[in-house]
Amino acid sequence: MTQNNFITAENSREWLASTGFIFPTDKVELTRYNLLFGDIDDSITGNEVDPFRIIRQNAKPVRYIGKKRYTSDLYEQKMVATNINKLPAHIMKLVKKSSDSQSGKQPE
Amino acid sequence: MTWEDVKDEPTDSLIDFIKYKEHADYIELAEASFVAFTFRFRKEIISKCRNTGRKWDYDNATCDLIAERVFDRFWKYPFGFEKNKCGNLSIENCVIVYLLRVARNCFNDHAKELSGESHSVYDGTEDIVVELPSIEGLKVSDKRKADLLDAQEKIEKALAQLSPKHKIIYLTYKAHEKDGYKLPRTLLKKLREELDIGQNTIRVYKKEATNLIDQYLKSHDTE
Repeated sequence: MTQNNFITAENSREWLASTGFIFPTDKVELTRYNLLFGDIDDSITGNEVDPFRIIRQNAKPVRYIGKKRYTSDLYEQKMVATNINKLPAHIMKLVKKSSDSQSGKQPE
Repeated sequence: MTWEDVKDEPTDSLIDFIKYKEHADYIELAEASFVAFTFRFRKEIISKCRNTGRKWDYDNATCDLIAERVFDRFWKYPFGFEKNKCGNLSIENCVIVYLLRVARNCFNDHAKELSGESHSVYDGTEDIVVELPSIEGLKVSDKRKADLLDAQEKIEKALAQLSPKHKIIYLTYKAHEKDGYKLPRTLLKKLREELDIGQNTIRVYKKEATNLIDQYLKSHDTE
């Protein structure tokens, strides 16, 4: 009987992840997984997942204080907690443009 | 603002923008970024969900549903993803691995829903218990009543050695805790707020009270 040197008790989880029985969790497993299943089936159009529906479903009721749209008090705390980066200039421009067009002002 | 405005942004920027969704001024940016993010990764995630789901006997429609749930979770809780935890993975692969981990949890949840396991063992009526229940009104035999009164007296005596907070925590846990399940979150929150202590302190108090009462009952039984 030949001895199997490749699959041992220690690396069996890695093999399961590489061969698609469970999801890959690191670079090696993902690379092997993509070798086996990298081609995306033509029957997948992408429309199976609709981001607009997800946003609609999770929309919270919007409140206005004066003319200002208002969602959550927790924002500042969350920002401190997660320490996310400052927005780059070209994005700030976009945000400003869209908020100007919302409030009826002409963009500069 | 539409998703096309941000479609060429790098993935880590998109995720940063999505994290702005709690802020009223940037919610449009967050939504546009989420749409662009979903368009970028959805085919990959659907494909992998189908491949792995097939091995577990799920049909394509179920796998698509789960893929949608993955993105739904990401939109709800984008703060869980942290770029600095990626290690040697590229940001794209890191996001895929992260989303697949979410997918694994979604598959588990789905299986639990099917088997009915996800139903809570608690019914939502649980409340903080401050005092031991009254035994006088119970319809039991006199002997049983005497036994119960005796036991209650012992526990009261043991609890008297500890603070009132210990007593409330001990009684609440004894009354509601089910084997293998934590107390409902709302009840724990109420407990923390009413007693003005943290969950770790509750854990320690519970252990102290349990140890003391076990010890007390043991020593008095052997007398």
